[in-house]
Amino acid sequence: MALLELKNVKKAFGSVLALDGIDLEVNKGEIVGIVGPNGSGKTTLLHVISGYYHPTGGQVIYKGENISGLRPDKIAARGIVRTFQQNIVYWDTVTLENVFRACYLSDKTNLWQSFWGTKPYVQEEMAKLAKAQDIVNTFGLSDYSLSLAQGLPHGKQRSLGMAMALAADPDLLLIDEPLAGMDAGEVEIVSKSIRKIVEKGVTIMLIEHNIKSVMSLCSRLIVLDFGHKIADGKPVEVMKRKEVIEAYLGVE
Amino acid sequence: MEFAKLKSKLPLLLLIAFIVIVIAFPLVNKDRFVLSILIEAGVMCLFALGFAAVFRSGQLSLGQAGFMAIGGYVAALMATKMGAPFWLALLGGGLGAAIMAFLVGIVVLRMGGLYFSIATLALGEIVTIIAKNWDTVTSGMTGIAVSAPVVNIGNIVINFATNKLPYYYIIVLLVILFALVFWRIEGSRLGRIVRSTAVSPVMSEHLGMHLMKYRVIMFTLAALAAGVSGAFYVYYLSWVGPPLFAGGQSTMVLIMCVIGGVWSAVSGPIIGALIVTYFGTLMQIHLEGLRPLVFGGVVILLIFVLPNGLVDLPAKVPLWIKGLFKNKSAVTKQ
Repeated sequence: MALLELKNVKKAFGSVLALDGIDLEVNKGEIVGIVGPNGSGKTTLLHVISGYYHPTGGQVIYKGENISGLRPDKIAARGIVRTFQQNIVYWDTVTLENVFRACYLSDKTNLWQSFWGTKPYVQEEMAKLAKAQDIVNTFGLSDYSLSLAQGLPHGKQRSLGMAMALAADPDLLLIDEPLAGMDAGEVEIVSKSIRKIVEKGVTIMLIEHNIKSVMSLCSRLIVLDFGHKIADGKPVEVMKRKEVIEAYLGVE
Repeated sequence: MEFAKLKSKLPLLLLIAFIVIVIAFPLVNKDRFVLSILIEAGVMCLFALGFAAVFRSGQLSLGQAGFMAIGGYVAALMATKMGAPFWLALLGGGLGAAIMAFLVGIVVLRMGGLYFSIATLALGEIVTIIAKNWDTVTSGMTGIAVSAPVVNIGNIVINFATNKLPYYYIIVLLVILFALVFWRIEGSRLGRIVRSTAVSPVMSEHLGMHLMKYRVIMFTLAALAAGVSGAFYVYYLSWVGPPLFAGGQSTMVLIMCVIGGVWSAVSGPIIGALIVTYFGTLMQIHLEGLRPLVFGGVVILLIFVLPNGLVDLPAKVPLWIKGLFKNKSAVTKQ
């Protein structure tokens, strides 16, 4: 059974169909790349899966359950976590605490215990701190762990976004343009951290414009154009297809 | 080494000194006018603590006075219709307001942001209108007279009507209690979650936090504080009526929090409430009519000079002094 299955998913904004009947499957352990020209519906697709938008029609099925229309926090609790196209961080605090706060879903003790500072609560917080530190190190942010997240360089902020998503212990991680605006060195670091995430058994769906990186990272590519899926398959084969080239470069 | 040790203990020492002064003050200064200002300031402290808690969850409530009114009326009705004792009426007032906030919150906080502000503004007005017109229960503009409690401890009889001192100590106790609660929340997981949801609601939601749950918790706690303060205020004035909790109170509490500094959960609202109540009362006597203008001016000035409020003053002053010297040396160099 596929980990995630989309059946005829539609999303309309007024009379504009941003997603026009998308069918796709994501299996466990894959890195699926979503590519397509600007405005083809890639981010809308991510929004619909993560619960930010409610689909206008169709079904999003995750681990055999229909999750379409659920609240984002419910979907996150089931194991689908996402990053954002823009750099969103908790600007009021440092990098380490950003990741620490993102460990929210692993909290077992309740608010009452936390109010009185009971022993299980303190132990849990210490364990979370160790986990956060570990994740910060994985993403090469250890030099910045005590600097304000708001002041980090662009590339580091993007890494932080992924680090925070990972802190929520996802089974399926949706990454929106991880490499946008990065230099060659940063691309290398982030690609490495994405591979590390996969090694932990996390399935990944990512949107990216950097075709070279997508080809080397992904095990499968899905191409969108005007809200339709126009291709789905091995990266090398997909990029040779006529309709994909037309969508990207136009028709003569 | 010794100095560093002392410095790290400084906030605690200051706090202890502050509490000692607060307790000893009315025993030294017997001025009844000063005592009455302090009691009113205490009521406002309680009110402001709650308001700041909502504000820190990223929501601006413009109708907090409505919850103060609910607390006040519930307490007055419990006292007059059911003969409830003082402490029970305080508790009832607080719970009444909290229940109301919970019911309103689960509907209105779904939207949050501007919608929440508008809805709370309306709520505050609705409460006042009901108080004015529901004659059979609230007695309209006449209001309800509440007799001051008389407490017997053994042979000692404390009559709250003739002696205001007990009110002072009770409100001090209440402020300390609520300050401790909000301080502890700030330092624990709930505070961290609430800050997260305020700073970036979208990301917090996608990390699994149920925004509404935490907003409702803070809103309900804030209403509890407002309700208790309202109930206490009614007992202190021996009367409750619609003008007591008019919309202006909701604005005053915002001004207090801006002046004191809303980015600190406890000290900001308390400092703001003390200062605004004190100067507000002075202005009411000497500058009647100019009060709103002065407060408006002060708020605008503070937003430019001290956007984080007066609690930021100790951190800012050394910087200003440094800046002053830097400019001078630059001038002499030229």
